[in-house]
Amino acid sequence: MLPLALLVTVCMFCSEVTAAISGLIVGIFMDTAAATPQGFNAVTLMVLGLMASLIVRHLFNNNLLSSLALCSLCTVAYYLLRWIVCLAFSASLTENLTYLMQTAFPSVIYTAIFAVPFYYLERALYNKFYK
Amino acid sequence: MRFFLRSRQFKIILSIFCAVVLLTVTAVIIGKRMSPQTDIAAAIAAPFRNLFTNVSNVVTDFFDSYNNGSKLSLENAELKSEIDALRQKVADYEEITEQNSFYKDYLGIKESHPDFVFTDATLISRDQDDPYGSFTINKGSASGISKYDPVITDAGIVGYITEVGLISCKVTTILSPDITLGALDNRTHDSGIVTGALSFANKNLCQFANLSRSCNVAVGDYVITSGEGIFPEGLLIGSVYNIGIDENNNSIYAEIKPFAEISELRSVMVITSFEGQGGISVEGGK
Repeated sequence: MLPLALLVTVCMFCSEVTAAISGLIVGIFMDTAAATPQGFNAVTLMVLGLMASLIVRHLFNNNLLSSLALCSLCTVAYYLLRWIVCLAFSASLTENLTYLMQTAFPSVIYTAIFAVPFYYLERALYNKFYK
Repeated sequence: MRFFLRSRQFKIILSIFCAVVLLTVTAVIIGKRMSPQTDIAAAIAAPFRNLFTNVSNVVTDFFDSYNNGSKLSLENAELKSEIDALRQKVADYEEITEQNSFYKDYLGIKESHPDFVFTDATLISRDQDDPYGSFTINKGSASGISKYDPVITDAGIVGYITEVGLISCKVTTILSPDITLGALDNRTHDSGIVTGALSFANKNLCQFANLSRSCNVAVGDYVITSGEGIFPEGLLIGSVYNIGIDENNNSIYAEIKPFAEISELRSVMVITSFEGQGGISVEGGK
């Protein structure tokens, strides 16, 4: 989920409105290719982007560890929502667990790995253009 | 945080959120097509997706030629033994002419279905998080495609159109439990329904269910569409891979290996018009 990793790291450095609109735009583009119901990614990423911005402002410090934690939390939230909306009620318990263990949770790790370069890139851009 | 919830910024975000949800719901329910914002985003992203898809195909082909040498040799050996087995089958049948005609019917889709109107399309993206292999193609309503149009390759059925945009569409494959189509065993004419399930999709198989306990379906039989629902009659679906008993209702089911290689598709054909189109849409396998 590279778009999600990029979105979360961007939202850590911008205001709530910008974060929400960024999530909305990324989600709309993801909706053109995803097999989820229409508007699912737009709404979900809008909320996740807003939450990421709010959490960094009010709860976490803005550092690498926070970006890793936020990326992981947002990825888990995204896949749980997607699982509930698309799969949970149409598959058996074994199939659901298989999907979560083989697809969803490994994506959390891959997304967190890519959060590291995205965070440093975003921080460099922020320091150059906004400070 | 409390101050933020009362601020003007939060009200702006909330109004954008409500507008997006309203627009999406309206487009889906009333228009039965992609929402306007998704359509616009697809139009903007289309040239970039085509470029990235072509680059991806070139890179994949380059590495495949080096990495798949042993795999191709093994596949070649398996195909040769399968060809030998098919030749033996042909020689065993009483009327060789009738058997040739049998194969010709499936190979000449257009000859046997002159009423079919096709539109070629190319895959431009695939949802990697979808276990059923759904993908997006580069044609939409501007090319005459509409919702529920069947999608096939020269090998067999792939799925049907689930969302239609102006220049792109989403395709749900037969590995998905959202698809249910009437099917027949071409040899024994036993009827049932073909649908998908997550446990089968992981092995690139689908399920031929609701077979009677007295059926004579055998491994290797070809399964074709029966004409019920949204798919026309006589299209190849796949071959029987395994036969089992459903523990829930003691009926027999067969695992079908689709002829179309869904995970390796690059081009498909959409049947935009055929005789008898407009039948009952059969959805929701379980």
